[in-house]
Amino acid sequence: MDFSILWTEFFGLTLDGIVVGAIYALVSLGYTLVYGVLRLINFAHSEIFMIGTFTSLGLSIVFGFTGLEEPLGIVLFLLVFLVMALASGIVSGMSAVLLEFVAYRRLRRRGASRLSSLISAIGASFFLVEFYRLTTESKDWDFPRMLSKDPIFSISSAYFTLDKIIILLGAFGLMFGLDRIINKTRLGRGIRAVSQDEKTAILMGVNVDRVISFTFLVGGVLAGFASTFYMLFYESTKFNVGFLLGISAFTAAVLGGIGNIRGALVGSFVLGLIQQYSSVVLGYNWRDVVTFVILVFVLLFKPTGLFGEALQRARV
Amino acid sequence: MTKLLEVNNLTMEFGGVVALKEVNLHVSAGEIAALIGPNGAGKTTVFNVVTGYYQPTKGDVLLNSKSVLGLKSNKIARLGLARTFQNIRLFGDMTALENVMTGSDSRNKVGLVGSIIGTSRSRQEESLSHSRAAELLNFMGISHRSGQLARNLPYGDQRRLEIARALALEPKVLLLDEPAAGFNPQEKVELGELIKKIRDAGFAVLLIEHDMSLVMKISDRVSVLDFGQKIAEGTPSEIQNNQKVIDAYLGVVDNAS
Repeated sequence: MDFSILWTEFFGLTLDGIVVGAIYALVSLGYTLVYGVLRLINFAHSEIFMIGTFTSLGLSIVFGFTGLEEPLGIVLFLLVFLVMALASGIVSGMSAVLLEFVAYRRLRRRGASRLSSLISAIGASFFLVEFYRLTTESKDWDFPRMLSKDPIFSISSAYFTLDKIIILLGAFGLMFGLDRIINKTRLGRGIRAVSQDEKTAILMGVNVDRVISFTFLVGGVLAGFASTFYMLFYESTKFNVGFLLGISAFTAAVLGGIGNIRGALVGSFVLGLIQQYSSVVLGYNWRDVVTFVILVFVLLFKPTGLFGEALQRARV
Repeated sequence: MTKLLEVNNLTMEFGGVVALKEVNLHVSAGEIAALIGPNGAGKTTVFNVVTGYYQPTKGDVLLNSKSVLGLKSNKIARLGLARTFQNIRLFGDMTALENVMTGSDSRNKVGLVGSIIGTSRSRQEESLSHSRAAELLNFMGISHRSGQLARNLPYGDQRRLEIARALALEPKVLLLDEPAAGFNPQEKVELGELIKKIRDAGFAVLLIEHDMSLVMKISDRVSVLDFGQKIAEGTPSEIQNNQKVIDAYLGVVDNAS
């Protein structure tokens, strides 16, 4: 164990922790929103994210940026990046809606137990992973560096590069947008009403099927945007990219109290920071061990998470 | 008077137990109809069947002369049946205003994309929902609770909020399930006035209530259920003098009080 790096690199690790946490947050919202309305862990959500990374990658190939040597100009980059993010958001969002339709809706209509849906979720996840393994030749795919990673400015050991700034601004913009949708639109009220009491919501005229489709769409779109941010930051993807990222985002949602939106956000940033700090103290390879330990400990000792009360009430 | 809600020959069995047997009821425009009967007589089951929560074993439910059997509950609610619950079922983590807006949301038409990008029509609908919800809270006398979470409201205001939320659906018939439960005599009088005001505003009311003085004072017509069967129907004074009813129900209450 080496704590000295932790102190010298503290600001840099903190910045990276927040950037990674922002990506987790966008993905963990999908877990938490779906759990809210269906009481189901959508284990295929990590694959919705993975589909997004390949959508961004595919566009970079279509645009002819493979093996790009010079970064793009900032205006062109922003344009290209916006197209990629929107495309990944749309593809992931539609995939999530389709997933719900194929893997969950019929089970729900027949009043199947939650366990059946959970098994269906895992099955859907395996299907998507294996499908992408075969179609992407199970190799690592590099994403071109379209943007210079020279720092714009720095605070102590925290080097603010353009990609980190874009990810942070984008992620916070999306979180703000989600907050508006959830709190200020009728579909958001529908989501909250169904999360709190589905039977009463139906009797108040809420179309639950529509609310559920919409929830999957929102979760998928956020995961799609997150996948483009991920590609910009890590510059690589693979068919199983969703697994560890999904586990981290899921852990973040559980840490915050699954079903609770604010909890998912706080949990994501806390987890992002813990991962960064522990990776220098214990070694980078221990990062995922730390994630799993947190997941197990939260489930054992505080299953409601940091902000779990709302869900406990909603379960009645 | 046009019959808004008709229940024809309704039979409801739960695995051999007969909860309702060939019950006929109706609610006409502009009236307060009451449904009374001892505990377990099947009153709430009637509400659960007409709102589509249960599928009846036999019989039919007509809303505006059209059968609503087999329709989903949210569809029936939109066609004009809104209810409150004996045990209050508000959305506790939403504000009073949001609870009422959830009721009126089903009347709005702007879809997904419109409400996300905030088209002028979606903003118009949103502000209309908002002002209608505020009006309803005012109508129920709880406008000062508008921004408070429903679960933090005092008991009586929660009951009033449930009625406001149901009214937001602009129902043809409002179904009230024991709205006076837990109220003191003064509150019951106020509630009675309020229900009359709701009727006069153009909503027909079907009322389940145990408090006989309230029922007899405000109802235009009373139906009595006993062991899942309708044993009497008539004006409050007819019901009070009906021997069958007195035997089954009122006699007991009279002796007790």
